[in-house]
Amino acid sequence: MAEITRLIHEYLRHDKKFPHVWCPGCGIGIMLGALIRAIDKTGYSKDDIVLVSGIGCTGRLPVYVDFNTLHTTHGRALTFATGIKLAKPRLKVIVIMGDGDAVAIGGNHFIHAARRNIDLTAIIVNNSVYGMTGGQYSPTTPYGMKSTTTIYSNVEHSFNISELAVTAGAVFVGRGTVFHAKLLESLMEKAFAKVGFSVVEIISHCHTQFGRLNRMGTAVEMMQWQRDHAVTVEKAAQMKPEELKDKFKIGVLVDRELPAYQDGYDKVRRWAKGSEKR
Amino acid sequence: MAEAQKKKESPHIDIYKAWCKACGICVAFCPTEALARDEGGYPYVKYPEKCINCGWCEIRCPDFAITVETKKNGKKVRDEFEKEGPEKGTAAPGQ
Repeated sequence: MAEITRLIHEYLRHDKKFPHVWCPGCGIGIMLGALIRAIDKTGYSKDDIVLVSGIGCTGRLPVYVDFNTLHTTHGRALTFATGIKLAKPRLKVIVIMGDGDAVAIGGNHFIHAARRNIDLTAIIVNNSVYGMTGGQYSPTTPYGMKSTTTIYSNVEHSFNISELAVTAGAVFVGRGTVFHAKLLESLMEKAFAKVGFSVVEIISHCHTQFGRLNRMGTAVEMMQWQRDHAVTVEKAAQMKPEELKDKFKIGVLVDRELPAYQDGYDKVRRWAKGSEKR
Repeated sequence: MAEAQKKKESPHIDIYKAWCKACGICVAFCPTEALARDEGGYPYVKYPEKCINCGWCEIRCPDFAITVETKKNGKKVRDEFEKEGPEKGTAAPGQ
């Protein structure tokens, strides 16, 4: 077995049923590989990592990996993660969410976690649709696209998760696609190293629901679409706005320094106890 | 795979059929077209000598079912895989 796969096997729970539950060609599997490689590079031990997830296809991910894992209610992954981080600040808390978890049901938690700047890493797999429940439209379904509940056309405008995170105050925001798996790995690694609320948005595909209704083809064709429509931040800076019209940027979108919630909270606690003067 | 072992200098590609779901990603994005799909859609190594060991099939495989390795001493690689293979391939059923 080659090195990468050997590494991934070290982190998998072999008492679970494999191959995993996701559809053939699903991007979550590719993202899981990138996640494991990125975590391995950070040097944390398995016991120092907590993976928290909500409901949905993506919510299934922590079942397969051998870390401290928590499978929570829909949209509330960030709230559970906040509690873990405040109770045990030494743990590295990673929140795995789908687009439904992050910006639909858990939308409010997402913007407020970003605003507070809690030291969490949110990994959001954006497949533009509620895949597990039958392909209903989600807040990230693009305008004019079809889903099982908008069979003619979606007339709502979609959220741009990364821009939302930037505006809400996240200190690190990166976007990648499952086609660019190596970039994904480096983005996650940077996000884990950051103190504060970091977000990695992953453009994935749901060929079973979204792809079939919109005639976008198989997993392979949807990954080719990602390849053709993704532009790196560096390249986008040299392109004209009209060239960028139907493209999206990938790479590090924001990397800034802001005091994390945890540090401020500790300081206030010390003041209140009188162990430190203001 | 038998073909891959004949050529000493070409990398060793292993496809793990127990975990493969035949999505076709490894075949579609292989830069040298060393892989091809059989009638069931499953990948197989068609031109082992074309493989440049870029590792993209391994990185992009959603099911961790394909591995590429340079054959330093072929015998050792095979032995290790046979030792680990059955144990990991037939993971116990259940949640």
